[in-house]
Amino acid sequence: MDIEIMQIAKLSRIKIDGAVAKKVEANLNRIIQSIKDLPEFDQNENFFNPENVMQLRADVVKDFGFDRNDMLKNAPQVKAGCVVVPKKID
Amino acid sequence: MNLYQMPASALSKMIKSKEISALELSESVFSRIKSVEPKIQAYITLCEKTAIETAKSVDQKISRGENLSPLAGIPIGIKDNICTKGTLTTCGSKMLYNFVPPFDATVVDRLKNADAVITGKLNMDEFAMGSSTETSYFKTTKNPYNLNFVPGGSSGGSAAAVASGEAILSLGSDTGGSIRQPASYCGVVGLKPTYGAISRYGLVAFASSLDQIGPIAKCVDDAALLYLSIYGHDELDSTSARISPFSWEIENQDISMLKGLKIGIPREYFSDQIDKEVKDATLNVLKILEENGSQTFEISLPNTKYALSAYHIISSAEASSNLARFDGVRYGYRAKNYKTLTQMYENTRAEGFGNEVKTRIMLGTYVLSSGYYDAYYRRAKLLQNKISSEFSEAFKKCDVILTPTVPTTAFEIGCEIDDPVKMRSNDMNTASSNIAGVPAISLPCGLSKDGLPMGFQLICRHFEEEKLLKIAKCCENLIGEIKLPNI
Repeated sequence: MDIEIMQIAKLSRIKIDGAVAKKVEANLNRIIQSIKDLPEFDQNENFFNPENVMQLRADVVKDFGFDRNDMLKNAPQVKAGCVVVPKKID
Repeated sequence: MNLYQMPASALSKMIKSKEISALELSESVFSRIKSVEPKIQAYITLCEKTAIETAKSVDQKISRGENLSPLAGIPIGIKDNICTKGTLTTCGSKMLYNFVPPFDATVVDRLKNADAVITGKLNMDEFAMGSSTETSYFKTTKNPYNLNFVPGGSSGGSAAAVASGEAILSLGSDTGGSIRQPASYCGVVGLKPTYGAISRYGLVAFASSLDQIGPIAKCVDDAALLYLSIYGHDELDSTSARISPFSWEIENQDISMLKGLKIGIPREYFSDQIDKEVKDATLNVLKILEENGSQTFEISLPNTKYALSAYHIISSAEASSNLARFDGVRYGYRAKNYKTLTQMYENTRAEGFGNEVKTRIMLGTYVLSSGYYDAYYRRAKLLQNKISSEFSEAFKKCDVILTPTVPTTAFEIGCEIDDPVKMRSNDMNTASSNIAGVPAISLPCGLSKDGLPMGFQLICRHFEEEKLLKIAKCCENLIGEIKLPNI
């Protein structure tokens, strides 16, 4: 099976071209060949396991003490307390 | 024996009885790091200054007569995908080369509360995707038993550090075998707990429904001590379970629980793909257990042959979603050249991720895409239910399942990195436990004729960590320890 590597790369938001595209495409095709023969099971089976119910937290806002400036220290570009990205709307 | 070679269980007693100080122990470990780290390359970041400060504070607490936890003063390394407040957490990726978390993962928080000494952050395959540490952006860790061989992965730094004496204990994470495979390759003990037994809050997500943090240690006692210090419910991880504590008796030599123990041997885990030496070493463990009163019999887990495929589909699908957050906006690497926002995302992800991560994100995108979801993702999820049911059925007949951990001993650096299918086959005996969510532990069972460690795996029912560890302890008592590496 051949995959449309450029379309998958676009959906994945990864720029890919040239030799890297060929290598990734070849690897993906080999992996897909190795995983494609999964058997069919009853399609009505449910993914939900009632014995493993998540314990949901109370629906209240909690202050975890995070400081805005500490959080922004990891951002590549910051201006006036906000992260900066390229202009999207003129 | 040097302090860095001793188990945490013994060192803890020595610290409390003032036979040694916590500072002496930390200095011994950091001296060992200085001596062998240039060869092993287990760490991405070292935390010597804070480690020494913590050790001194433990000594002060002891001098004041305070009651301390078993891990007080014990040097522990942390895999670099577990967030540590104020300390670089890279996930072995260029994408997070400069990321300093503003919070601690719950497991780190619990270790700090236990007065453990955090030695540093350990190397790993990029975003935990790999079986050798060769996909790390920073370095390839070496196997302490042979520096030309890989330590396994993705928690290769964690296993190599414990095996080489660069940490007394370490934390790893296991999505398809990433604790047990490197533990097997490096001759140490690695526990993947039940899904939900340990909080994942602060573990950088790879595949959220499969990821689990667990201990890597020199012996079962140490793995139990570390597990008991970090397990249990956490309100910050709604998948973490409320489970009952259990007591652990250090240096217990009693093996009476082996009498009448029913051990299932799944034929699918002893296939022709398993190296003869590894198979023979595992069968030898079975023979020893039989001689001590256990009943062993063959069982079948027929859909195991699809577990690896299901693992790759589910984990890649979840990774494609989880790793969408790395876009150069809020943290980590951002590309230099772009004009539009989309170009910034695409260039950042192209330059920030390595080829293995890109391949898995694209595989995940593919299996979730229109027209392929039913053929791949839905089938894999149905298969997951089937594999879980097969484990439940098997455990009606047996108490524990025993298998080789990995098909082979460690492989040479560079020999599998360009063969994605062969590299993935490392997980053929381990991924099913993640798919089913059951706990599993790898223990060493000897050295190959080439001097490389071999391991076997024990698997129990959900949340049977106490039983699993106790059976493992009995096995360890009978098999004995393997020779330490000569680095």
